[in-house]
Amino acid sequence: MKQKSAINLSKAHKLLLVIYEMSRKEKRSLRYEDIVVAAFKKNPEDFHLRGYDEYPDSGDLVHKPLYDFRKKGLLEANNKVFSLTDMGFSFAERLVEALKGKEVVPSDRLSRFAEKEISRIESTEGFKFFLEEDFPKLTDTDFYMYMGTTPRTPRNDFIGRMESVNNAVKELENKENLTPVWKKVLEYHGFITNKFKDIIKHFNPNKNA
Amino acid sequence: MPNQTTNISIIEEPNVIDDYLLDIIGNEFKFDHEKGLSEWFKNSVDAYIRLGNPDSKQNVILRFTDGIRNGARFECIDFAGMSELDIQKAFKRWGDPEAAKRGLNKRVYGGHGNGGKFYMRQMFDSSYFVTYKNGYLNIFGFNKNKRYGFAEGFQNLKKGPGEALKIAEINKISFPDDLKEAVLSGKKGFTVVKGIGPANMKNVIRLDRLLRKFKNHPQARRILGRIKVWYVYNNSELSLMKPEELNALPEFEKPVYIEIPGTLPIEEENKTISVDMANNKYEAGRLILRTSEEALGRGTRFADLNRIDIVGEIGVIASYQLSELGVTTFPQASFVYGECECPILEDPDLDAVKNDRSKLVEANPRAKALLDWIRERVEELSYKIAEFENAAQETERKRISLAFNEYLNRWKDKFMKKVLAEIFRSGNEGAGSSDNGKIHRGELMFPENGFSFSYPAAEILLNESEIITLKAGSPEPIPIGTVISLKSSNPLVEIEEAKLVIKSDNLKIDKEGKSIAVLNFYVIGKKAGEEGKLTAQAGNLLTEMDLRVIEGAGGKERTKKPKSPTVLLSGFDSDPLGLAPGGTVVLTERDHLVYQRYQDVQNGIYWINTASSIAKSLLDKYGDNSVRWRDYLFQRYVDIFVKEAIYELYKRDPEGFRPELIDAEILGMLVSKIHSRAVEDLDKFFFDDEFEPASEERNKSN
Repeated sequence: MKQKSAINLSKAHKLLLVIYEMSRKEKRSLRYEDIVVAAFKKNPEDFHLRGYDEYPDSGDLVHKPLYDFRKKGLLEANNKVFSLTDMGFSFAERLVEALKGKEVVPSDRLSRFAEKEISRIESTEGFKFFLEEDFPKLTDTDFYMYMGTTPRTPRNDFIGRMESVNNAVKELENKENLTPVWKKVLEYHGFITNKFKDIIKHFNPNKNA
Repeated sequence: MPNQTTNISIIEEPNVIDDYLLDIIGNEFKFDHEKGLSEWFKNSVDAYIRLGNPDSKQNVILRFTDGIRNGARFECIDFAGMSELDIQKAFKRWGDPEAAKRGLNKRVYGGHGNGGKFYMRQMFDSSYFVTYKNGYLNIFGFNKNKRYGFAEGFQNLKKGPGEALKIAEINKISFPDDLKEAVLSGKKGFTVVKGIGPANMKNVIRLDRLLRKFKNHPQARRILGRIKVWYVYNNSELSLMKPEELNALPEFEKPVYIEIPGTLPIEEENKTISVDMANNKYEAGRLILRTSEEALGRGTRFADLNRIDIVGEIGVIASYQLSELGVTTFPQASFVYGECECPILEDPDLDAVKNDRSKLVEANPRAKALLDWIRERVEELSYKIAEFENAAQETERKRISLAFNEYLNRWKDKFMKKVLAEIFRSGNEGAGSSDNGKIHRGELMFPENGFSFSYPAAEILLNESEIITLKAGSPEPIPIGTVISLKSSNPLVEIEEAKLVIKSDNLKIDKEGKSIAVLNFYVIGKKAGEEGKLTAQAGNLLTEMDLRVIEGAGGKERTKKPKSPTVLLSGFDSDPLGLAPGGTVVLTERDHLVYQRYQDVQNGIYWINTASSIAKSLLDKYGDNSVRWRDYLFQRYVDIFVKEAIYELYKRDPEGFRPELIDAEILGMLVSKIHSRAVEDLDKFFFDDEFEPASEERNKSN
């Protein structure tokens, strides 16, 4: 009988899986308190209050990874209500597959979230102008459309969105047999993130475009 | 045989000229009276110049008399005087270019010695002058046959000054004492040129028009500015005459000086050739262009001044209305006049000056080249004026839009915060709904222990008024009318109101029929990173919540956001943040109708896109003052309300942020409230075509 190899999963990943389970494959808004309770019920040894095994910890143990996920574009958060992004779902699904013992190999297809991002970028008006090489027409409005944000997007959400777009573009870069349009998407990414690097710097001063 | 032709020598004889030639030449003068008077006037000035009198000692009186049947009379009086010799040697000679100089090496205004004489001959029933010098009086003139000669018995007549004044009929004029004294003492002579029965006004003289045109006449205007000239009408007192001063067009006060190039091109027989406009003998000339605040176009009071005078060595040698120069492109040319000094035009080898000094010789290539060049310069200045006017019109246009926008800003400030608060008070803690047993966040739930905050902890944005909701079971366990006291453990987390009172208006019923008071109040975090505990106490009941102050997007750059956003017009308003190149945010038709940069978000600024296709069309077709444009602006304000409400709603209740809620609470209730309020407050704005926000109203509001 083939034995499963043990996997040492981080608390953060455990938490993400909890949220994935709570979401039931749909984008759902989850209250912080509910996540704290669910994480404790599922993994009491990891998420109990220090010195009180029978009580959940609602402090940084849960709080910090959730906000890290937000910055990585895996979670959306507002006023202690969280929901998985497309990238979050994609990441969690791959984690689940890995835990099932299946080897997670790079697929020739784009992940669900990347496909959605790239398709969204392709449909933007700015991308059409880029294809027509009408570069002067591209304004900050196109940049925000490209990122799926607005100037009002909270900083951490913007960073999360940027992570999401960057990861989608990275997936595209690693893909073989790029279509001509996808090659243009990659060029557009380089162009627009460079042109509006000041906006990126504003929202994410610690990261270069 | 000798060559007979080469041996022939002509013996010179005086020309025999029929008087008809004078009619031919005289007709060419085509005199109008202002031009003729200017000729007399110039002759008087030349007489003073010959005597060496400075400008301050040159006095000319024009007398106009009418009211006698066919006996209207023009007179030009100076105090120089002529001798019989002057008349014989100079006045009598026709066409002598040196006539005005009388052999002296002095620059004088007179040209060929014809103007004044022809005016006398052609334009009056009869005309003569009475002149007195050194005790001798002469009367010389033209009779009805247009033949000239001395008046019988008045050639070189020895007379005393007093009698001479009487004969000249000027003894009753109250001219300045010093002049009269000088004549009576024999120190000065005088000449009175008289024209009786002037053409076209033999009975009544149209004095106002005549004087106005005389004062503006090219040959007279410049001299009038320097010497003393009076006029007297019938028996009136003397009135000093000065050329009309023109105020310059604002922003174009300084005369434009342009040097005439050394050579100018002209087209001749399909070829471009160069004409010298200066040489060793004649220095380069210049054009001086001036502007007038008052239009000088045809039909206006100063229409005659809409011209360029060509100024010679002394006096005007030609004059052109701008229309004659072919200046037609810009109507702004009607504010332009000027003069051109071009000495080389008087070069005798290629003399461009005509006998009557009204126009240059048309066929003279220098004249042609110069006039073309002047036309181009006038067009250039007119274009600059046009550009300036367009900019001024644009500014005025913008002023109107800015005034409307300011009006809407003030209107919005009065109630935006309130209306948003009303919406959220009613919507946020509303009845809620249940979906397959799942309780939504928006569902109203009875508070723990009958008294608690909506959330045990929350993050609030730095320097923003944030709403906190407190719930109390009422009337049980907390009766209506109970005063709730509020406290913050940290002074950097401020509560706007220290006390709340439970009123019946605050009561809502939950799903189970329990009555709950929902109370909202505001807190402001003054420093990022600060934490504080809020405590609410109602009698023995106490509840607490934790607050943490966080920075919004923008971090350290964040400044205090005003309670209501400021709405500005792209391309119209200057950028208060000083970030936009050129000073204002310029948008394109592709940018959103309501636009923000991230810096605007931090500072509570919205820009209405005036370059959007609909905005441009409305402005082009209907203008800034149109009701349609105002409606466009209003609609953008509604957009801004909606945006603010959407973000606020999400911030407050992300879990309950559903399309139905936006539809019902924002697009339904909020927009409807805005429209109702607009109907109450903005009646004139929407329906009065002439409405313009008054400045006093602005002041009052400020």
